Amino acid sequence: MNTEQQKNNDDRFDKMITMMIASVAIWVAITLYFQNYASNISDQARRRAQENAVASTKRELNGTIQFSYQWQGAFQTWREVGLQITAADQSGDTAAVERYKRLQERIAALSELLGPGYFDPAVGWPDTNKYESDTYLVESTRLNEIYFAESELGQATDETADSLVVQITLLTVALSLYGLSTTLKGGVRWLFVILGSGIVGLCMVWLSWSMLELLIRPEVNTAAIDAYSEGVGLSHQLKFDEAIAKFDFAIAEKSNYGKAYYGRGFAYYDKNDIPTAIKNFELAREAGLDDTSTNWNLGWAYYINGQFQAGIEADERVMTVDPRVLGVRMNEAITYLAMGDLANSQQQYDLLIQEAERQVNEAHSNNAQPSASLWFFMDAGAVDLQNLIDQLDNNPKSWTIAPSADMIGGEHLAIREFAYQQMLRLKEITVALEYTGQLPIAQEVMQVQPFAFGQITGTDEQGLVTNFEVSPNGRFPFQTESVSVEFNYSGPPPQQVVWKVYVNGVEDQSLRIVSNADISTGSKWYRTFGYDYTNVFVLASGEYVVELYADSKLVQTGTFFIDE
Amino acid sequence: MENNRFKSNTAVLVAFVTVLGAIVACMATSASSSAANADFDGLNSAIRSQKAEIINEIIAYQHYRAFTSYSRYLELGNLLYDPSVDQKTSLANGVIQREVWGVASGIKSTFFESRYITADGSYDLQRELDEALAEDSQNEDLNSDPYFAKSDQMHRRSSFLTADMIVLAVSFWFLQLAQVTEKRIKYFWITIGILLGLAGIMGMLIGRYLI
Repeated sequence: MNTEQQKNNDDRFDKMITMMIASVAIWVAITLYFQNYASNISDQARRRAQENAVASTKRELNGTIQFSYQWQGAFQTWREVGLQITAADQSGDTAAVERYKRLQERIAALSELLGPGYFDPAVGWPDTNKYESDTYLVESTRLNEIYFAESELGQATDETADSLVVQITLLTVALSLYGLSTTLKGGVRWLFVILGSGIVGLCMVWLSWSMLELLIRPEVNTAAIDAYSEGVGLSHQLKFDEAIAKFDFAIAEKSNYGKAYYGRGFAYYDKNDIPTAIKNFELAREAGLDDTSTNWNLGWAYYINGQFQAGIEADERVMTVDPRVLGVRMNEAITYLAMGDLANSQQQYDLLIQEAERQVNEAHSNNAQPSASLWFFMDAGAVDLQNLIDQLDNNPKSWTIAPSADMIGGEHLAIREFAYQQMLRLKEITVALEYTGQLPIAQEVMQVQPFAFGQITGTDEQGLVTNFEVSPNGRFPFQTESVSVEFNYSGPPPQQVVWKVYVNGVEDQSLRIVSNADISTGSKWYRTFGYDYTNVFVLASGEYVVELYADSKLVQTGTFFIDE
Repeated sequence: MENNRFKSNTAVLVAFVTVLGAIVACMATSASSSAANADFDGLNSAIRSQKAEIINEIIAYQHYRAFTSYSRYLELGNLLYDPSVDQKTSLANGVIQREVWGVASGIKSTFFESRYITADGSYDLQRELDEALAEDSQNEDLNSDPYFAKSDQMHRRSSFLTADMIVLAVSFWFLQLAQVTEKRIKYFWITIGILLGLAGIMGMLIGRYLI
């Protein structure tokens, strides 16, 4: 090739590269436009997300403050006067009854909660769920959902904008390579051209993908969000059929709306339609709501429905992510137990207790308190075991929630005994952790003979009991004001006793008694539960289980009944 | 011939440093974006945390107000017991006593958590607040510190990588200088360019793995 030809070739090459640089510059401009477009969408979505987060917070705080006044300021006052009416009525003071009734009317006029929309004076209890739904729950849920949707949109478009920045950078590299190729001679310049063109080709494909991402970006479906929020409000008011209709609409509007499936699952659960609840929880998980709450409730629904293996799988999903969730550990333990797998059940209960002790110690070492739910779930775990025992005994109560006896696998007698021992263990540990912060220690405690329930019918001048009438079958008529328990003990007197009373399976904490009184002066003692010091209340009808803990050891349990 | 090879090799080095610069720019952009995301998440977590604390305070003090009413009625009932008064007064006091103790029982069973009453009869407000906050922390992400710590880390990384781009740009400048220089000093320029390029690579690695 002579010099002239070489010069012509170089000129052609330079012209070609010049055009390619100009073309890529246009491509850079197009990419920059879409980067700016995506970035603007992202920034605006995030701004709206934060606006909604703040608005939701404001709404919830305002609602909580308003509700606090309505409940504590207005209703409590109304209720106090109502109790005074009962007392005056019991004393036969009709004039006082009239005065108090007028006072009640005046107070009711001050409160929206005590107005006709939420309150029937004949019932005497306001519909707080409806009030909360109307004043803030639905709206704060709606604003919160918009926040989530806008955040999702902002996140998605931000990622697209980031990828477009990378593309612009790569295109500037390609431009640089093209420019450099003009300074070179021979074959090596083509290497630069090919490399640069490869980068441009990659960016063209990538930009197409980015545009597709922008086209199919997440949307803020306000119709679905509105329906979902209303469904949450209706569920809160226990209007499950209406709530399900709202969730149906939300799902029809947005087929991958995980929270709507979850809400619908809960509504079916509360309607006691466990198989449909399970189906909806599963759909929520498939829609991406694979979180602690979904798996927790799904695992529990599987357990009640006798699908034990699936229940353990759902529980494990939570435990592998966060082993601190005591409620799920407890569910896994009882699910193994219902399968008849005592070894794994024992292991789970041991892990549960270790974790509970760790949480209590950690909180106390930080001069703080463990979560309130720790006590609730430990207590609930013991109640669940009692429910399982009731099913095994073919003695389910109206409040029993557990798989039926025919669903429970393994040796029922062995399971029953195991469940009873674990229940005792949980109860004692809960009392010990709550009142001493430590696990129970092995020590000699007092022995208590079975309780005798009855009425104290005579006392001396010092208030000591001189006469006690025992009810042989532990049954008392309706309108009984109080019931006393007589107990005899031997062995070392305790430093602390805790009395717990479960009414129809749930502890009535207002009847809980913690006492450090010295009882070493005698072996026979009495404890009264109820309201004989007033003429306002009587004991509600139902089953009362009384538990006595001496230095955190459950030393005696007894049951009495108030007839309807 | 040797000069052409030198120019070709230098051109390759220039291209390499250019690509490195682009990679560092991407890394800096990515870090900056991650920092913005962490700031966004942290701010939302901080809002949730403040909300939870305010709501807990409102509810706990609502309970405490109810406990105060309960204490008033309970104590009033206690004070009505006076063994020194005559029988008529004692009977009248008894009626009021049963009434106020009934009101106290009604408040206790409905308007506050009786398990926060301590053995000395006071109300453990701090325990209720601590337990409520611990409960909220289990249910929601209320700790913004990890987000802001990550954001700070990403901001540092982004700044460092941007500074690293200056090193690579100077490397680029020296390599270009070597390419246009015909005298032997071009070897000195290319050496500086390569050393700065290596420093740039080192900076990339530090930015990616140590910051």
